[in-house]
Amino acid sequence: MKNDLRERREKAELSQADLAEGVGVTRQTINAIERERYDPSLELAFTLAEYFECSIEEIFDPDG
Amino acid sequence: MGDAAVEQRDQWLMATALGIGVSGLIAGLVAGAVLEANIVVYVGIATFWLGIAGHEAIRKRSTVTLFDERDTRIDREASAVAVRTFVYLFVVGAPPLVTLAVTDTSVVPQQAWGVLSACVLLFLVYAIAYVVLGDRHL
Repeated sequence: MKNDLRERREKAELSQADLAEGVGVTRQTINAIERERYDPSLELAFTLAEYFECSIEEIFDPDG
Repeated sequence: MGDAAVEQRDQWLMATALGIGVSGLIAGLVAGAVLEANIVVYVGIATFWLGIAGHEAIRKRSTVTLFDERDTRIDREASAVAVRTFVYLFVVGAPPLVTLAVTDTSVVPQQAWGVLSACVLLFLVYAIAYVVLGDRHL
């Protein structure tokens, strides 16, 4: 699924490992989401949205 | 040490523990057969179990997340592929074997029945686990 997770993470000056630790997943999962190879669960999508203080739709574009 | 370094170290340790275990088992079996000494085989098996225990201990004690929802999904899909493969093997293999045995056309090797039984057993375990887990998630 198309998303702007990489842009948000880089803007926050976080490494993939930092973000992974912050939301409780592995670095590979963050990498896979950023490369649009893996669609996160609803729970993880909510956690990411909460982490970046925005809505899920602002990060993920289901039509992308 | 940063989280990425810890993750890399722990994954390396887990792979190493597993590698030592499997290598120990293979070495034990080969050396046991060559030397005709059962004790070497037992040592190989003990090394294998130590390797597995080490792998699990590192995974459980790691301070970073090494197994998450993506790994769970990969695990689930890999399990489904494995079970489906065994089901196909059974569906394709069972009728000819039974036919050969019933019609006395050929003597079916004992190993073939063993493989067939393993397929049935695996699918039974899968079916029971499916029902139990399905019930838990209702």
